[in-house]
Amino acid sequence: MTAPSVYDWNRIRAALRLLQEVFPGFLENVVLIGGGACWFYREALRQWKDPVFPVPLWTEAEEAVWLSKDVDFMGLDREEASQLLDTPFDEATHTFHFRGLELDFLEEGLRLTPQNAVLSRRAVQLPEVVFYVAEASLLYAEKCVLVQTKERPQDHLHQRLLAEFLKCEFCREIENAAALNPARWVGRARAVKSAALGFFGGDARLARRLRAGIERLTAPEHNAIHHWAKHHLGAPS
Amino acid sequence: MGHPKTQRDQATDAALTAADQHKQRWKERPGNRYTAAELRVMSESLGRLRILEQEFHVMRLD
Repeated sequence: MTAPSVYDWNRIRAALRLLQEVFPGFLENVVLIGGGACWFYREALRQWKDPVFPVPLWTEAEEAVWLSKDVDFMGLDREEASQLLDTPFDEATHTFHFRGLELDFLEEGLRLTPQNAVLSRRAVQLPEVVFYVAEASLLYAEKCVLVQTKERPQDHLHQRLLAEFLKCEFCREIENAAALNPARWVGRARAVKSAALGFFGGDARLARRLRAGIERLTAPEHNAIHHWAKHHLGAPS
Repeated sequence: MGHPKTQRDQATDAALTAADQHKQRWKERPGNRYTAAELRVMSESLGRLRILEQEFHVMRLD
């Protein structure tokens, strides 16, 4: 079964709004994961217009596999979702059909669990709806394992996008000392390095920009970042 | 050293693998992925996007 031909993002947004209206509290209790979540990070990166870390240029073939039309959430099990949506899980499409949406509720990933997804979620603010998306570093960790264990072309694209997003965000946060949360920054850096050991050392653009930004941090609360940089960023070459 | 896999672990892994393969086949069917043109339209119509982190709640003990 294919999705309706009129199925477009505006319709998904309308449906997210509908979910919020029909099931108040629903969007507060689930977290968008998978390609849909990666797409929002892609769009956030695009809107930042960063000169060093732009959205990668995808080929037509890559774009053709980038995003599927199902929407994956975490936070409800399938039985709960079936009762809430009042529709059975369709084994043929592997989704629930709900007013034009193809919804799935993943109960467990390779790194993603409902607990860590919900506890670390971020809020996505669009002009007309707010919903939650899995934390980028957690999605990245999931994608790093997926590319090692499965043969799915979209995972490589999502991993690449999330890496660029995280690199850009690490730099932007360091460059905005007033809003920087050192504990969160270091925690996320550790999580990302656990997922990909060469993340910080393997990209000269990232290391150079982070070093320059960290050098400008002089407040005592930034000591944890200086300490992290000493051990994980290395000396300039 | 990892812990030995239980029968339940293996059954869960097998079920997850089967579900994943099933789902991937669905994604690969014609029409179930956005085209490059559709992605462009979606992007252009998105509007201002903000992804915000949750604030920590400080537990006050005084």
